[in-house]
Amino acid sequence: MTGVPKRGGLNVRLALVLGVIAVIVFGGAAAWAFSVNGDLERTRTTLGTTNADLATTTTTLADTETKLQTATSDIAAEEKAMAAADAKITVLNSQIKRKAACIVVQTTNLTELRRILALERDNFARTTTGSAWSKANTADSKAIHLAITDLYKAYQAAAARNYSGANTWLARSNAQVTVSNRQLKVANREIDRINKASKAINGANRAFGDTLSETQGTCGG
Amino acid sequence: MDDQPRDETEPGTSPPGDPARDETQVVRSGPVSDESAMDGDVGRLPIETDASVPTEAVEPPPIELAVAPSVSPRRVSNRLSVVLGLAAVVAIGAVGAMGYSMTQDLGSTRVSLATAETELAGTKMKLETTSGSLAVQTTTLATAKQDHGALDATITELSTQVEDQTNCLSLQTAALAELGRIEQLQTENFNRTTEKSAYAKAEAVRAKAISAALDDYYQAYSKAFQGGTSAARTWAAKGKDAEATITAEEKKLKAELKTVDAKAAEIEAALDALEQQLAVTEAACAEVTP
Repeated sequence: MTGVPKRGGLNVRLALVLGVIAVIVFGGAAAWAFSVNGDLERTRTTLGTTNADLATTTTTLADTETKLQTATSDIAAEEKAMAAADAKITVLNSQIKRKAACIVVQTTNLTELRRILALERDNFARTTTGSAWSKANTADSKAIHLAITDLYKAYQAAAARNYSGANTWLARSNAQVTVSNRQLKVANREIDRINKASKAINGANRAFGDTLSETQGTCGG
Repeated sequence: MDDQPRDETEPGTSPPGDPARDETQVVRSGPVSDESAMDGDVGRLPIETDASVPTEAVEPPPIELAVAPSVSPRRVSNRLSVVLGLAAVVAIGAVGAMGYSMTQDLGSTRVSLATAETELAGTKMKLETTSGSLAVQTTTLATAKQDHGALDATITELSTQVEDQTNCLSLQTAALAELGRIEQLQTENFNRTTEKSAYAKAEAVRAKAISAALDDYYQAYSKAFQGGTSAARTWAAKGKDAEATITAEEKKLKAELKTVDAKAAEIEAALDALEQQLAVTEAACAEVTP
């Protein structure tokens, strides 16, 4: 048996142990680094997502704030418009009230004026052809003309010395005068009625004049 | 290079100490002879035999041997160890440094994330509050718009009512004016036959002439009856004059009555037109009269 010459260097077993240790340490470090890297990646991803979310939320917030501002501004505008509308409604209601009162008064005026006009027409009709006054007046006129004619004939008969004839014509003339007087009474009675109605109409007209003054006050002139 | 002298090796065997070949190899042995072909550090030690026992050459069956790479303690060169050690330290250090750097990054990233999350939470809270306010304002605005719409509708309705009332009043005023004009015509026409009118004056003169005619003719009749022919003629002539006056005044009366009739016809036509105007007025005012 011959001796083995001793050589320099690290014992391989020790080297192996050290190598294993180094591998373990490296592996551990690598695993740790890998884990940290994973955490970092996840955290960065989360940060990215969060930042994106934040950006979106910030944009949404800005948009919402703009909308809120617009809505607030719109509300203010609406409130102003509503206040103006309320004021206009108040004015319109006031106008409606005044105009309604005016309409009532004018309706009354129309009714009254139509009534007065009807009275006037009725009264006027008392003097037209076919009226009692007209008939009486016509009869009176006819009778008085006959009376005059008969009296002239009486004069002519007397001038011709026909005295009985003259008296006959005189009697006829007197009869026509009587007729005339009777018709004249009828005509005068109608005229009294007409005058009475005229008095009533004049009174109504005066009252209506007062009403018209009130109407001007109600309807604003 | 390796400064140690290398042993010669048989073909098919692994050189000792070569880490690259440091592995067990399976070799097929040839016939075993008395003399080993191997010597040196690595080889088979001579087999001690008992000399009393005769030996004979036996042809052993071929066997397979597992040859260990080295049976003597082997060593790794220092330089290689240092290199490998340095490499390991560098690698571990690099990994550690990288890990440390990433840890720092992770820390700052986590801080950034925390800040971002806080900011996000704050922004979300603010957004929630703002959205809530917006919802309230939107509802308020919708209500305001609805109310405004209702007010506008009311204004439209009231404006229409005012317009209708104005139309009614205009028609009423026009009707009243026309009615007043007709009433005035009626009064004027009526007054054409009343006291102090031309008709009344003519009528008065006529009446006086009638009385005069009756008186004059009666005087003529009386004078003729008494034989006073000349006086009778004089009275008869006066009577004729009175009759002429009567005729003349009656002409005036007829002329006045003709005027009255013409005006009455005019009034009738105006009243017919007014009736239509009043019907329109009443229809227009029916809905707005309280």
